[in-house]
Amino acid sequence: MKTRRSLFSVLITLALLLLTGFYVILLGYTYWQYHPTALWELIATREIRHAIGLSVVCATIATGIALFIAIPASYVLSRKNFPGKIFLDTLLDIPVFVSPVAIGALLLVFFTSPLSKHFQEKFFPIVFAVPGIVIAQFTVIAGLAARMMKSTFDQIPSRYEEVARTLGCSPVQAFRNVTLPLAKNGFLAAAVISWARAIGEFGATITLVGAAAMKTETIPTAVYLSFASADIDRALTMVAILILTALSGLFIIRFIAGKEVRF
Amino acid sequence: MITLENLEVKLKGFHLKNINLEVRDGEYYILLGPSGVGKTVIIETIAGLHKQRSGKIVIDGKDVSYSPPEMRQIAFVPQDVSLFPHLTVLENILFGMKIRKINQKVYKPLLDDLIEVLQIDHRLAVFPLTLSGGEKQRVALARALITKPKILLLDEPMSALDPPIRRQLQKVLKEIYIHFGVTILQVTHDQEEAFILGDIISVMMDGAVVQTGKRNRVYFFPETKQIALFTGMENLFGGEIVGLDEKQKQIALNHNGVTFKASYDRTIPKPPLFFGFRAEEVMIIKDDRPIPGDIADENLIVAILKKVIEKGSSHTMEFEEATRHLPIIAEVPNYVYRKLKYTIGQEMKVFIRGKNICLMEN
Repeated sequence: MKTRRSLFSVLITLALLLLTGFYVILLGYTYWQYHPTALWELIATREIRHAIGLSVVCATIATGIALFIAIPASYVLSRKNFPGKIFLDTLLDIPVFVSPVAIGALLLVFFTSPLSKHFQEKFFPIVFAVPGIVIAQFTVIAGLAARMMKSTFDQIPSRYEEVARTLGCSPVQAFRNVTLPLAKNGFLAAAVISWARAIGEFGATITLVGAAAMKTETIPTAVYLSFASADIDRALTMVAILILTALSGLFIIRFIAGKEVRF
Repeated sequence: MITLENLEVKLKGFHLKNINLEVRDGEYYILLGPSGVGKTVIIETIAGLHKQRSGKIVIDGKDVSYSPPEMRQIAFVPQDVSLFPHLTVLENILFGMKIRKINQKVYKPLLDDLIEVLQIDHRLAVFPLTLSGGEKQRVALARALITKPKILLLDEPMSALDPPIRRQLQKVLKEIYIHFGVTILQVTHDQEEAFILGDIISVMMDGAVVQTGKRNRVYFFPETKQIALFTGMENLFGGEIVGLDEKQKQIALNHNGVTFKASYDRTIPKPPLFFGFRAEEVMIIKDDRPIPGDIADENLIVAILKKVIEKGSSHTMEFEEATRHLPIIAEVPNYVYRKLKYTIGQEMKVFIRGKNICLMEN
């Protein structure tokens, strides 16, 4: 029994090492082979600083909007039964099975329609403009955020809300004082994954807004442009910047949201 | 006072019809029935967690049938207690007060009283995850009672507890009932618990309330065979009326050639008639004792002891009537059994008072 258990421990540890080791080797080998341009030199350029700033700001806004909508939407899906629920639930998976480029193409067609053009003329531009980045990222991550939040709400028994109601809570108070605090870990996970997915988003973004330097160029598009112009060193440095930016962002989200998680 | 008038609730797997209940202020009311008959559905409908199809729920003269749970002035402790895991014990208890923005000065005396009576003062700062089953129940009771509800609804509060903790909590419930003067409506499938705690008991069978009455009435005089079986009446027989004295309210019943004399105080049920008596009402008359004159004419039966089952706190003695082999079960306290010193196969006399025999429908 002991041997079997220790063999199991070895196997699961091995799986973890394989997975993390794979990423480490991938990064290690690449940077050992190519000696990318000095990181700080590239970061010092205005163009890259703009791309980093744009990526972080757009990903944060897109994540905020996605969660703002995903939380109530997934709550409804989790708690209520209504005709067509399964259909709506399945729609959330569109960004999972439709490739980002295809989503970008759908967005481009939609936002070049006469009605959309009218909207853009009246309010703000979307196609080949910064708001388009947020919309592209939002489209890709909103379903993901809703899916994660729904599974979080599914795991919280509705009984807590019912008891809260009998103790004097309105439905909103029960949601705010009981369900949301209990969903904190799930919310954190949804925020982390959505933000990380948004900052690395490329396909939908480049299709909808292109890759104009100092305008709509995000870090992933900068990586693409560098590779396209055969500047491997610059591309790899951009990859390093993307990884560092994403890791810093994820760390900050975990730190801010996670320090009060206690159950 | 809480009244349910012809309540009808339809949920997946349940269809409850014509539910009528009346819980008076200060009563400890028990809704007793086997699992799956819809007791919880009723209590949850009173709490406002399900919508009724028809009928009325009236609390203190006000129709709350369509009021949301927060407007009903009730407190509900579900079977799993559902303490909020992200709040400490004290935060859980004060949850209703914080939501209603009630000043600490208002609830402090009651809070102190509850903490003392429920003995949870040493657990206030911990999270519910670390509490035992009994402690969770106490905290849930405190959380419910601090809101000063018109009625406290308890759904099988002891079903998940070990017997010693269950006995402790039964005492606690009785104490809070007396100490805080709260009206309680409790659901249980445990007939022993119902008779320990309840003033009034309603028995539910197959989605309907089949008998309501004071504890002793329901315990000793079930109205149907089904209720008698559920409430643990061991001696049950089909009976044929062989004599009737309507003036004296006396009836003679025959089962398989053995006649029992019973007194009755209500309409004789329609045939097919059943009668029965509780095992603890069967008296065993020692051979060397003279038979008192007042019982000589009642149900004195010569029987043979067939089996004895030790139950820890009592003994179950299984007899067979000497000539017709009618099975009779007696429940005797340990000290009585020890005093009797009987052996299996021995012939002896058992006695059942006519007033302890209950007539019932099939």
